[in-house]
Amino acid sequence: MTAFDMSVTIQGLKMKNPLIACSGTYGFGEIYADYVPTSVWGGIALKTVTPKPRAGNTTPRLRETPAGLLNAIGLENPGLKEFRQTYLPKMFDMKTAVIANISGFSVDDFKYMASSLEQEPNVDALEVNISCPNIKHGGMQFGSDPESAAEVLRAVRQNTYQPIIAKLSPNVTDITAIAKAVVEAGADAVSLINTLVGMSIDIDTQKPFLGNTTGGLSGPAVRPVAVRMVYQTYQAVNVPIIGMGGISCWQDAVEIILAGASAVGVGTANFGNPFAPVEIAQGIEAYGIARGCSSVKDLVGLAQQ
Amino acid sequence: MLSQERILINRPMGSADNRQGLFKLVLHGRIADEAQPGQFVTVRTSPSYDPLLRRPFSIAGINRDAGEITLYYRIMGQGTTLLARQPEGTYLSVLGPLGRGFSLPGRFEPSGQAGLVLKAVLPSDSGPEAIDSTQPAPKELILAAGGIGIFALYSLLEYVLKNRLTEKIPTTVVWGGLDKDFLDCATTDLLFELPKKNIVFCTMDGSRGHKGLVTEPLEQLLSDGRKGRETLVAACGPNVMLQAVSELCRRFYVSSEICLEEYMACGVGACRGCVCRIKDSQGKVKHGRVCAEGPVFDGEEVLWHDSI
Repeated sequence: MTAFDMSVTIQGLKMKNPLIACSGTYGFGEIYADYVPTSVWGGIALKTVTPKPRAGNTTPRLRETPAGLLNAIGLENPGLKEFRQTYLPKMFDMKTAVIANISGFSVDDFKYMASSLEQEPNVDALEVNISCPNIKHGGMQFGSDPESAAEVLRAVRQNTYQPIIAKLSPNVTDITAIAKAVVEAGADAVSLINTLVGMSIDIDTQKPFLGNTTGGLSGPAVRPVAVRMVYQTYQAVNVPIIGMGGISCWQDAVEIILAGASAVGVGTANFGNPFAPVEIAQGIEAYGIARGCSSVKDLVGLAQQ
Repeated sequence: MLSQERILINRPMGSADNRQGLFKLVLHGRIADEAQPGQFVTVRTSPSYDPLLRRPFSIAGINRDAGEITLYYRIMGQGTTLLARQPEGTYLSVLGPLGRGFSLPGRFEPSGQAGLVLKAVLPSDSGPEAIDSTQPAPKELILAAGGIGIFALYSLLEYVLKNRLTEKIPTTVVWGGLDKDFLDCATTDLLFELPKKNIVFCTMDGSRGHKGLVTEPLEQLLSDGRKGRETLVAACGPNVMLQAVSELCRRFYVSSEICLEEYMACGVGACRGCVCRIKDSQGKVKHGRVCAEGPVFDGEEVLWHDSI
C-alpha cells in the first residue's frame, strides 16, 4: 500500500486529515458520535457560541430547496459560560481537533470571547464567525466590509495565541477584499463559504416560508459558488483556505482542493449521510494515490493557472 | 444507529377503489431491536443529494422477534414519491430509532435510547423531564388522533394490545379524518382488536361517526367526572388539534402526551432546526428540539403562543 499523507497543519492546528465538520451542522461534536466516531474528522468546528445565551429565531427555521437547504436558526446557543462549564470539559477525548466558533454583536464581544477561550486546553483553534446571515445585528455585518472585518480579527488576534480562522461570507461583492483584510489583521486561515442569503415563499399562504423571512442556503446547490470563491481567494492571500459549501462526496472535496483549499468543510451532507466524512477521506486518499501524489498537500491549488 | 434495512412491504394502503396516497412500509433490520412506540426514523429516499434531506417517519409498528418495523406514509412531495417507487427486496438507509417516545403504561421503561444518550451527554440541555418514568401507570388511556397522526399512535396501541394491558387500562381511540374513505384507507386491523365501543370515529363531512372535530367527543369523554391525572391522553395530529387537546386535558386535570411534527434537517439534535417552545420543570421557557427532546412532549410543557 502506498503511503499517502492525509495530515494538514494550519498555523499550529494539526489535523490528521483535511476534513472539518462545518460549524452549525454538528452541534458541539457529541451528537453524531452515536453514528460515526468523532475521530474520523481532521477537526470539528463547533456550533457558534456568543457571550450570552441565544434562543434563536422563530420557526419554521428550515426549508429544503432543490439540492439545497435554507436555514435560519439564528445562532441559538447556550452562551459562553454554559459552553465552558458544561460542554468544553467533555471535549478532551474527541480525538479530533476542536475548533471553537465564536461570534458577537460588537468588537468587544469578540475580544471577550477570544480572551475567555484563550486558555482552554480543549480548544485547538478559533473560527471567527463574521458571516452569519440570520441575525439582525453583528454577524454578516462585520463580514461584509473589509474595515469592520479587519477590526474584529485584529481584536481577536490581540487576545489569543490560538490559531484563528476567519469564516467569510459569500454575500459580498468581492470576497478577496475581505480575505486580504482579515489576513492583514492577523487571521491564520480563512474558511469559506458561509451560506448564501436566500428566501422561500409559501404560495398557499403567500407569505415568506421561514420565520426569519430570509435564510442561508447550503448544500450542493451552492458548491459552484464556493469553488469559484476559493479559487479567487487562493490567488489573493497566502494563508491556508478551508473550502466549504455543498461538499457531499470525495469528488466535490477533490474539486475544492484543486481550486485552492488546504482543508475541506463538510456540513449539510452529514444530515443525509452521516458516513460522508469516512467516504470522502477514503476517496481523497485513493484519488491522490492514483495521481501519484504522496500527500494531500500536493493537490492544493492544482487547478490554478 | 444507521442501518441498511430491507424493504419487505412497500404498498399502497386501502383498496383498489379507495387510494388516498397512503403507503405501508415494512422494513427488516436492526432498528426493531431498539425501537419504542412514539419514536421515529429518518429515511434516505434517494442515493443522490436531491432531495437533500432524509425524511422522518413515525414508527407505527414494532416486531422485535421478526426484526421488523412498520412505517406508514402519505405521498407529499419528491421524497415520498421516490420512496413509494422503491421495490420490495431492496435496501433503504435508515437512521434511528430517534427521539423520545411515549411513556409506556404498565412497564414505564425509559422510552428513547437516543433521548437517554443525549441526556447523559447534555445534562443542562436534556430538555424537560417530559416523561417521568417512575410515575404510576395510568388507569385509563385515550388515544386522540387527527388524520395521519394515527400512524404514530398505532405503535402505542400495538404495545398496549401486545402486552394485554387493555383489561387493566381501558383504552379508547378517538380518531378524526376528512371522510369515511380516508378512515377506511388509513385503518389497520390493530384498531379492531379494541372493543367497538372504544373507538370513536369523527369525519368532517359526517360520513362516519361523529360529524366534526376530534376534540368534541374527546371533551365528552373527559367530562364524565371520573377522570383525573391517572387518565392519559396520547395525541398526534395537526398542531391546532394538539393545542386544543392539551388545553382540554389541562381543563379537566387529565395528563397528556403529544407527538409533534416539524420540518427536520438532521433529525438527531445537531442543527436545532425543528424546535418548539417549551416550559421546563422549573418554569423556564426555552426551545425544545422536536427530534431530540421530542417528538413526544408532555402536553403541559409545550407553549403554543408566547414568544420566547
